[in-house]
Amino acid sequence: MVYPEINYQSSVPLYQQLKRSFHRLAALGLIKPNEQLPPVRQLAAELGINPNTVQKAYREMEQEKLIYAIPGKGNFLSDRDDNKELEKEEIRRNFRTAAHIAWLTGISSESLHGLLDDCIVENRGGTRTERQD
Amino acid sequence: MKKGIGIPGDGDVPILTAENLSKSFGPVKALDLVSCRIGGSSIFGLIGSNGAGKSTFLRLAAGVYKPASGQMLYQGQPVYENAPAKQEIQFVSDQPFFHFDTLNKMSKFNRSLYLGWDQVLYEELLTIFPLGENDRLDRMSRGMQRQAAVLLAIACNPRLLLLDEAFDGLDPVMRQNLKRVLARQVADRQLTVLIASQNLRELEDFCDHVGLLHEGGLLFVEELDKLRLSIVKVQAAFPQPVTESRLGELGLDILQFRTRGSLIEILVRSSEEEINRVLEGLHPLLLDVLPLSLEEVFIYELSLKSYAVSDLLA
Repeated sequence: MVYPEINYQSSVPLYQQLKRSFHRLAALGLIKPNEQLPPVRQLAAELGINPNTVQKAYREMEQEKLIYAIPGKGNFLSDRDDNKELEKEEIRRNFRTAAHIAWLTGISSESLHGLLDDCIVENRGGTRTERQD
Repeated sequence: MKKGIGIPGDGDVPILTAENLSKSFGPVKALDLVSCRIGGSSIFGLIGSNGAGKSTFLRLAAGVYKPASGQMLYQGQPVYENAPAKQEIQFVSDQPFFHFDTLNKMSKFNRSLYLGWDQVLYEELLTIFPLGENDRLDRMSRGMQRQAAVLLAIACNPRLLLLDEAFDGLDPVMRQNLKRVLARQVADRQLTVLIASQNLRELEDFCDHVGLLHEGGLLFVEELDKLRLSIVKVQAAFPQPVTESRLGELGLDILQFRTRGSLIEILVRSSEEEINRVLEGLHPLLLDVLPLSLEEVFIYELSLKSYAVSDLLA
């Protein structure tokens, strides 16, 4: 079972960190569709965080349809090759800022696309070295 | 009469209820008309400076003190001189006191006294907290004495655990161990924990609700995540100058407005989504929405309160 990563130093609330972490684990395929998530009590005891915090994260992920709950059995990752809507919305927000700065500073659409391509290459490089560790 | 503060959204019967609770020591009013409800399986943080009334509140909850007026109820019944309730409540004082000189003797004492005593849990806790069962408790460091007191309390398997400054004086490893043990007991045995501390940082990543005590009065009780996300800090720059009143017209509840050159820094009582939605209409050059630390939220809420109080006096 894969555990989410928590940064106790961060000012981001723990339940949001849990959600983001599960989203990422799901996006990376480290949790497979229909795979069970760690039970609330187990995750809370393991990470030393309030079970109500874990419960809250699970409840919100259920509302977002990232996971589904089977009463008495636990929480499972949804089967969803369709959307990634949440991820796209986050990306769209970042793109909008970038596009706006480009427009204000007179950077052309081509240059902007070029910059994005650079970023994709950079990121792939970064991911690859990370995975070799 | 002050209005009672409860935990919003909790439908179940509160495990602990204070109703217009007051307690004085001579001329000193330690608690003054405090009302609140604490729900089951909650980890509740009671924050306040020295002399705010935290320890008095805990001692009333433990049934050590009798209220001067008002009530302290455990599952609907007054705690004071209520033996069945005290079977289910454990109180760890900020200055631990032991009736016997070793953990071993203390464990036997607790086992004979508390029906809920869990010997298996006790032995497991001894492996988590490295304390010698036959070492003299009075020769242990303050931190170790605290660990011993907390360990003995948890092994009684209480429904309500009252901790006075429990995390103070514990090293980071022990602190994390204690959090893990408490988290497990809350999840598995529906334990409710009430932790008093003067240090907000100690509690902000562990509690689900916090109450702020100030000079014997409870200023507010709130769900921690709600509190933390209720106010955000925004740093933004716009192509055209934007005034505070303009942002107000757009429906933002601006608490603070500062400009630094072309950069605007504001505190807003709103959610991140709402701010993004409103401000993106102004085509910001830069828009950073930062969550406030709990400390910043508290300082802000407090300044609001004292402002309101001075308003009433004037």
